[in-house]
Amino acid sequence: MLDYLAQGLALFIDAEVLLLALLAVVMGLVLGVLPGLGGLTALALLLPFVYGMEPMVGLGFLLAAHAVVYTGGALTAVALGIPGAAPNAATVIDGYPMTQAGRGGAALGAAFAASGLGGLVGVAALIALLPFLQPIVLHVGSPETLMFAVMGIIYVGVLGERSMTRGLIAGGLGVFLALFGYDRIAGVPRFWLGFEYLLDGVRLVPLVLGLFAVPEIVALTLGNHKTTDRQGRAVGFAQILRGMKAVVKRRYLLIRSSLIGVFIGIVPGVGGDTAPFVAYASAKQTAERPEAFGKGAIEGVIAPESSNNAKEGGALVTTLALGIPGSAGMSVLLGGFLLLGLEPGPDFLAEHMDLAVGLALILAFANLAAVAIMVVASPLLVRIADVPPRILAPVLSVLVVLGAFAYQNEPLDVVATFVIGLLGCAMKRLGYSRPALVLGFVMAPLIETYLHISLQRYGLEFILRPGALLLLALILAGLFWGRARRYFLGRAARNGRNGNAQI
Amino acid sequence: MAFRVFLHAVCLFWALSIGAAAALAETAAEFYRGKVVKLVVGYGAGGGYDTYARMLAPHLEERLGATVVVENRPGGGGIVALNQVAAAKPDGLTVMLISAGSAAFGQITGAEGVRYDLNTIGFLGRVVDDKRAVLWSTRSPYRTVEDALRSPRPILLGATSRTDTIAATAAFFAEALGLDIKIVAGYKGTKEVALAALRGEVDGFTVSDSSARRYQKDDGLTASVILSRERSKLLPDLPTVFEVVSVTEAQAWWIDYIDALMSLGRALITTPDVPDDRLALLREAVRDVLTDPKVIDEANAKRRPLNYASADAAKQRIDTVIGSLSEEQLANVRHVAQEKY
Repeated sequence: MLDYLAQGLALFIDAEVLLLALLAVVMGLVLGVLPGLGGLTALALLLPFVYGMEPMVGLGFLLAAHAVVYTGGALTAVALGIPGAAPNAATVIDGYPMTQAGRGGAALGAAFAASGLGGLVGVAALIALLPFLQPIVLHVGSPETLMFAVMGIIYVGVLGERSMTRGLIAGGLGVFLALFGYDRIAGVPRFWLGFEYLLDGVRLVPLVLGLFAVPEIVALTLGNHKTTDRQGRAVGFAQILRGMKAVVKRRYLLIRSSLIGVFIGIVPGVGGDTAPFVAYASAKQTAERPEAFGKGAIEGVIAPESSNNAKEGGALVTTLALGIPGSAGMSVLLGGFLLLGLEPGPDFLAEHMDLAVGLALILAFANLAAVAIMVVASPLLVRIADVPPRILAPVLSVLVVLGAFAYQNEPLDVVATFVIGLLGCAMKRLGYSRPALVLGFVMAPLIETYLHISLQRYGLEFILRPGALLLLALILAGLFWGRARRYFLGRAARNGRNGNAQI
Repeated sequence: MAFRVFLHAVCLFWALSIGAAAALAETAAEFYRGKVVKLVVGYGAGGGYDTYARMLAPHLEERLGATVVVENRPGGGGIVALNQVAAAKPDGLTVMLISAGSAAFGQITGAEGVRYDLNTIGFLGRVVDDKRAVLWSTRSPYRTVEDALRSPRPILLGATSRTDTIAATAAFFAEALGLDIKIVAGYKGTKEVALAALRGEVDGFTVSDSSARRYQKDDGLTASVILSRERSKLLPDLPTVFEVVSVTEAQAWWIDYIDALMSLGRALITTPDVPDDRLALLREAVRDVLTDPKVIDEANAKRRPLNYASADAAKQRIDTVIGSLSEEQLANVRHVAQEKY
């Protein structure tokens, strides 16, 4: 292993590799800051450029751009309440209220530090897991994947902004929207109403842009946008530093959230978009004061952001070791491998361990570089919140249209964005959780597919498989843990023996 | 005033007829010079089809003197893009790399959403053919066809969608040998099916010979037979199903049907009703590129082999698979592929 590390390091320390990776980091950050343009878009846009490059140069370039998108995406999520990329949606829940309360700088600092450190945890996990990966993935069968997805959807209730019922209704709506288009098993299109566009169902990018960006733009133009006093928006390094320190102080939360990200990243099929939500819910469940979540709790920023970047390490594990992409972005990266004449799979690691290690180092480098760039640039970048609405709203509208169109060069995606935007406005007004809808949307196809496969293969007994039973126990524990904890804490407080319960 | 309008109209008409005459005199080769030809791929960037398209584009560019742009239009398993290409302006500036087997199969089963007709589409040539192989999981108790025939329980074969050719060839294979199988469908792609087989969730699956060559290097999967009368060039040691078991004429029909469907392979097509001279030029360019030894070497180096067949040959195979079947036979094919197993 040590000589692999040395070989990987030798590949990594190369002027061309590092320079291109740095360029990729900047491009990834810009794409992350633009709403709707996510890691997937970043990879798709950059993919054609790697043709003909050396494997390490080309793959490092792609990976660096992809890995830092969520670091950039945190900026708009915190400063404007618009997730820069789909997985940043969970960051909006607490990051935006923090900005509104004048703690935007701290939220940004926390988000950047959590992203960077989470990314490093992901890299550490990647290097540690590479040798043991195959047995792990071979034990996660369809029933287990199904239970993972159910676990995700159960958290919908936990995530509810106002009430569990509204959270579940929103999640259900997400499931419904996911049913449009070709069903994967029978190949029969559902609810397509004769529109070819709907054969592929509702797309994630227009959905996220419509739900989060359009309502913000509408609020801006109507003048209902909550303005904060200048002091709140003026982001100084001191404030950012305070946010970063807060992350270091909550290192257990950071590590736990990162490991959740790594784990979800590893499981093929469970989209990486789930990780931040699960990490958020887990942070809320175990928090001292869960009721502060949604109103600007810094933990609510740290948890999703660290899991976001950590999951790339996890997703890369499966991609490298099995040739099975752990996330949608990784499947494009896999395309990059093939383009360069490499074929990840079980024998890939045997032949190219040095490349795998080199890529892990690139991942670490990109995460750190991104944090440095964002910290330096954010006092400038965050001024976008100071831009008067009459300028900001049209600019954002252009970016939304651009983002929706660039996703797959499909004009109808732009139309869909604004149709879904109506829904987003209504949900925002009535207090239904939009992140819950996104989560339901992402989980629904997994639940449908793997329930079908599990039933076909094992019958109802699938639930008795050890892995599935374990996950079921975890789901139940997740549902009741928060309640039980509050109950015991409350009892202790009543007995006057625990003064810490309120802190 | 009216006179001026009339004068303008005359001038316009005159200008237009000159333009039209020029267009008529223009040869196909002149037409393509400096134009942009869209090479559509019905799947996302980075996949096998995309790689083929991007590999061929610069060579087609060279032959046509036009700029060839690869355009990914993923959706509906390639059906959406093929619908669009089939309905595009017949100017010969839109070509597409399709899975002809899947496209034909979609048309046979009358899959919802299919709006193209392969009988009218302009074939340019086949890029590479496919043969189907059967792979078994080493975690399954069955390693050979004979084992499988003696199985006391239904054999579980993995597949993606019920309308895809992976499920269909599994069903035809079972029908040919009288195997008791159950298709477990829903996996997200061939890779996920292979993973399911690796962990023993399914007993095996059918897959293209090029994929089989890749997967059988894994410890957990063994290739068993080729579903064809001839061995695969990629896997010369793998016996055909005819070498392993004896089958009746009626049984052999199903294997031949799989073979015909798969040998359609990946083909380049264009919109129906493209002017004859442009169609001929496109076909010529495709033939020149796909038979150029340099291109073949480049393709082999990338492990994306080429195996050209002419447009006429491709068309003939389409007829074998779609046109020559009676209504009754078609209904039976549909029943076996989608309902029986």
